[in-house]
Amino acid sequence: MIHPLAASGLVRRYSLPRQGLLGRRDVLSAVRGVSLLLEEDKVLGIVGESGSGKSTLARMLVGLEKPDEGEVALFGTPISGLSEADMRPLRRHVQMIFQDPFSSLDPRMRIGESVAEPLDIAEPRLSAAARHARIAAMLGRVGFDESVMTRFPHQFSGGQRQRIAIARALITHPKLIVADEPVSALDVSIQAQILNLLLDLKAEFGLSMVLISHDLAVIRYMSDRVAVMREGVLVEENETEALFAAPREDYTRRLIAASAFSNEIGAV
Amino acid sequence: MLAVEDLKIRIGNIDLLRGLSFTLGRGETLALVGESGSGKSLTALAIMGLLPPAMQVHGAIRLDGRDLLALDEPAYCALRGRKIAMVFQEPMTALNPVMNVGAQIAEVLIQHGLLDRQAALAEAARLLDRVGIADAATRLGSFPHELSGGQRQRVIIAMAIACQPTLLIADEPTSALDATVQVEIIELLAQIRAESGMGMLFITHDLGVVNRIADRVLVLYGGMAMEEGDAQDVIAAPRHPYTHGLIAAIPRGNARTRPLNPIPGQVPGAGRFPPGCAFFSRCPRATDLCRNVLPPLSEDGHRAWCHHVGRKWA
Repeated sequence: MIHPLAASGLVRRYSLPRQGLLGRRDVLSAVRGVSLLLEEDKVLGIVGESGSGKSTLARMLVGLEKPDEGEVALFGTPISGLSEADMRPLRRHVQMIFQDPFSSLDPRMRIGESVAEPLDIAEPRLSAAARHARIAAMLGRVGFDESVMTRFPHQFSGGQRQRIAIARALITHPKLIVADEPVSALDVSIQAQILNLLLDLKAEFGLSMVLISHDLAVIRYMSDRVAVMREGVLVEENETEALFAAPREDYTRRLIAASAFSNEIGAV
Repeated sequence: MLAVEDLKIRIGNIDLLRGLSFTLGRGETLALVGESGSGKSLTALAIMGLLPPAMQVHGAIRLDGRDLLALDEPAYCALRGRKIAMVFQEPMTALNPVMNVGAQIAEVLIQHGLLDRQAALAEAARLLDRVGIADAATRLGSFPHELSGGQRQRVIIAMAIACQPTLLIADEPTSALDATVQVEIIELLAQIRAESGMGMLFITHDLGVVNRIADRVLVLYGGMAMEEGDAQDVIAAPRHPYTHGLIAAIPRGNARTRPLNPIPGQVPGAGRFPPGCAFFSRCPRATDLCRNVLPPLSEDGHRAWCHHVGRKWA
């Protein structure tokens, strides 16, 4: 069986600024040997606190950053040796959704063009009519009518912008999405809308997804499997409900206790 | 101790806060809960006297009987940090990056003429110890960038309680922190409130935090009060459809077994609210009455402002 995403032994080090002119350069290991496997049609949640290396990991998984060691394979193809040209056909099947919908859309680009950009790269020979239809259909799917195509990002709220960013990510009909804190910048009532939208689209498009968040409640809601990341390594991984029912690591237990904050609020 | 009466904040002809009233007693914690645009942070700034001059403020804010809105700036300066202190969301921007933390805490005490420099530094060390910073005497010389986010927030809390204020306003004090650190800071604030007897106005978007720290809660939406009462009561049995929707939007479990019902739509922009209930455009029970007429107060265990509170939210 071909996995949409497989990573083995990923390591990423950053060298810190020199301590003084002739000083030594310290090295920070952001990710220190991470292996993971994403099965088709599943959501793998990666939870970690700030500084755990989860965003660095996300960028390596989609090829935005090269690991110092280890290998990422997308749909069975290792990406480390690929040229930019060989990478391109893979890239349309892999998209990323970021935390901040304010900085992930170009403020000077009309919504229609922002959403179309990945499509123009993936399918440059699309006719104008077909292109327009694809954009309109995708925007419709995230809850907008065609008229938004000529508007600019600043005319939308945070939640609306995140829906536009999702339309942009899905316009090429990717098979794999890596979402890094997709709802952290949003109000509670909007968060739930976006989470449900992501799950609906996942079912509709047959997506596999890696979801990265600091929020354990969000991870639990969305994921089939959960991996807990701390200081650059995965300390525990399991099926979602098994992990919550019987966490093995002390750190996982502490995270669960801290997020029990919201669990204390009974069902309404 | 604190009484806010019919507080209205406008900019130009746009209403940002549409008549808010609440009280806060000594030793009590009141949580102001709301999403962006609800007016919760504006309320805090109004109490601190820190609203931009372009905003017009009406109503009254009384602290121990004194109307703060009538104060001039020098009188307010004597009050800020002394009687009313504030803890902000982002500890890095609230601290001076080029001054060590000991001097920053001592400065508050010196400015208000409570202690001389030497005594103030000794008091700063005691305060750092009180907020749970290990090896406090040495840490006086640390700069903000040498501390973690949680430690910086502890320093901010030490500064805030330095003059033993009667009112502490905490505006999203834990929202920028990791979950495990969040718990520690909440516990610290609860302890300090209990031993000092100050009143605490706790501003947050997170009902989970409310449940842990607040005695009472006031839920805001679009610059209006939706519901108010005992925190446990309101969260266990919300009477207002907005509060109900907020609670229902918090994930608890997995989507396959416990799917969420989000509040539909989005918060209208400032100035786009109807003359009646601010929640009108997103409310599952909204009628024409709600759009046009301000909802009356209904009191039954706790207070809710809604035309349809009597109905069950299934």
